[in-house]
Amino acid sequence: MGIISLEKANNLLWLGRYSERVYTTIRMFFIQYDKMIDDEEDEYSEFCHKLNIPVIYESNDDFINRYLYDKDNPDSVFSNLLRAYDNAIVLRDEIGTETMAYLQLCLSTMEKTMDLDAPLMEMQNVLDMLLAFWACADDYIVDPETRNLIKTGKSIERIDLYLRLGTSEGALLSEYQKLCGRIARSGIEYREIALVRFSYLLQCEREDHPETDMETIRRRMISVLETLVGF
Amino acid sequence: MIDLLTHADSINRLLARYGVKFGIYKNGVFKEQLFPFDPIPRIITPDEFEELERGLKQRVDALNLFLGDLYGKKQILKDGVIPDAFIFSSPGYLKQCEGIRPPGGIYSHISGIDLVQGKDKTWYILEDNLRVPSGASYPMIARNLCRRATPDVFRRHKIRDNRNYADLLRETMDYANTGGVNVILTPGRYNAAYFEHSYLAEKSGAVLAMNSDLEVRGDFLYYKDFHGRAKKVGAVYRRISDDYLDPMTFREESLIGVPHIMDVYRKGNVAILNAPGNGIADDKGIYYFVPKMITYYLNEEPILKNAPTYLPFYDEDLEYVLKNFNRLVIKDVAEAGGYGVVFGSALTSEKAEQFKEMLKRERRRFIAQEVIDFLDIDIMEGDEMVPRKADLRAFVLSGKETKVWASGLTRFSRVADSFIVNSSQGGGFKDTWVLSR
Repeated sequence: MGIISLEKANNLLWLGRYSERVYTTIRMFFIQYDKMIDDEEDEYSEFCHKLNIPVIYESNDDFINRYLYDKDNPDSVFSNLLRAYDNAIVLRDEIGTETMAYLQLCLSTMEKTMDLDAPLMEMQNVLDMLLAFWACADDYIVDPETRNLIKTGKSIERIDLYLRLGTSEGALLSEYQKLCGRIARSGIEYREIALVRFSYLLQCEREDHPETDMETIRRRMISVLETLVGF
Repeated sequence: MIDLLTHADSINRLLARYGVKFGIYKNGVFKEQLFPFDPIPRIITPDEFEELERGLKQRVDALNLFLGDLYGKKQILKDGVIPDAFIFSSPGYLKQCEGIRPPGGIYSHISGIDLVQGKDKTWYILEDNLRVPSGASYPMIARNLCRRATPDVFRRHKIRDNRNYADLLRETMDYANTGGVNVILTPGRYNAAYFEHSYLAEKSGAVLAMNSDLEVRGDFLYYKDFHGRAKKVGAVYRRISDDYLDPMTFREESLIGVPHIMDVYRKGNVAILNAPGNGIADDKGIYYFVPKMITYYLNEEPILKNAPTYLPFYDEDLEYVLKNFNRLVIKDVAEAGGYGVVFGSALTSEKAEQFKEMLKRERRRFIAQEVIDFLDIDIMEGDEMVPRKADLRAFVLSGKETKVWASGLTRFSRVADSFIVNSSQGGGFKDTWVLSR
């Protein structure tokens, strides 16, 4: 459509961020869930620390239930999905009813898995709906700025989560390269210096300063990423 | 048509998928609810529609003339057709709109006229909604799904396409537009009709805006984009009520309005659809006078009938209402959405006496109407077909010419014998088929 207000630009960016947060945390949760089958109670604490969310859970079962579904827990997957939906619902005229429908389906599917004995078996459908949502956004949204604002948010969130959860440098580099293209095409105001700094930390810091440990570099990258865009 | 019935569940499932919902506040908490769709359509024959079309155009044209006259010369008051006091005591009359002639001279661009059909097949007008009538989006999207489910049904029957509503809306906005983009102004996602605001914006190509996206600079209204550029706005289809539209003119505590938009409007530099101040013409008390307006302005006999209505404001009517209280329905003129409606027969004798006393004290606050035993329409309840009360909201769009949308929103009660069909009270909706010749 070509005219995007500041409010909607903000919504588009956060739609990308929250939808990605739901997608990646569910995928990581699968791994965490598997670990908890064999390991001690309290295994989830490390997962929470990495994501910088409070450890409010009392047991593995409590974590499984409340981290996934508790609407009153702002860090739960369900709360994040509701925030993605809240951002999408005010964007129907930008992203279209067809695209929005996949997020609606994602929410309904998530709600349906709540009462199941083995919710993770059906959780794959939530991921499928998110993938369909992004594909539909990519395919149907005509305006390149609208598309790239969502994708910019998605990339920022993915990099943030990869850094926190310790994903490989190769995956980080690939997502960083995507972000560079997307943010330039999104029309959003951003701090180019932050991208340069991020690139340095990602690709040169270890060579130039071998004494700096990876954890410190990752923390610095997270801080730099936070300064990239104004909202 | 039986084919259509077998697809009811899948159509409702798809309506849920597309987020076809309305919002409702219960005990202060906002909830989104699906609007249940019934697959049995209301069918209107070509002859019937022709009469409805003529009657609705006539009525809306007269209402537009009335609004122009009222906020201008006030000839209808000078000629004693409507008592002065009746106008100026109405909360719908806005003195701030005095002397404003909207672009194109049209006040009610999108009118939602509520009708019911009596058992003798006569159509009666129940209400005129000239402020922000909603509901057109639901049959639009439902029709699309019905056609997908049962193409043969639509191949066999000659049914007029109703999916052109967004085109009609765009045409109406373009006609009123003073030069600039078309905007749909919404109070936000927690409004009951938010789905409709966003869907109509998507389908009509208008920009969906919140008040923070709009700004008055000098004598014009602008939509600001995220680069800081400003585009001039030529028409605002506002989906917020008059009171909250401009805090500098109306309620100063409004946080959802656009400061100074009324100044731009007054100068003729932006069109506001529907015009502020229209509330006076859809006041339930003024409804009584609409047939008189038709005769007064158009010198024609009204084609469509009002439900027989009494104004306790007049001594003679008050006497009649008090005598026949048990068989009348009493409506509070300040209420809408099915609220403030009391059936005399439903009250205990003690409550009825209390109500009658209130009628005597607050004579301008209520109207009384004969209960029209309107035609039941079948709906599906599980696997069973059951009769239910239903009304029809017809949409009339006024631009270069006045057009009646060949469809409408048929709302039905899901409770046996209940006359309350509003979605906020649990009602559902049907598609409305207007057959072509």
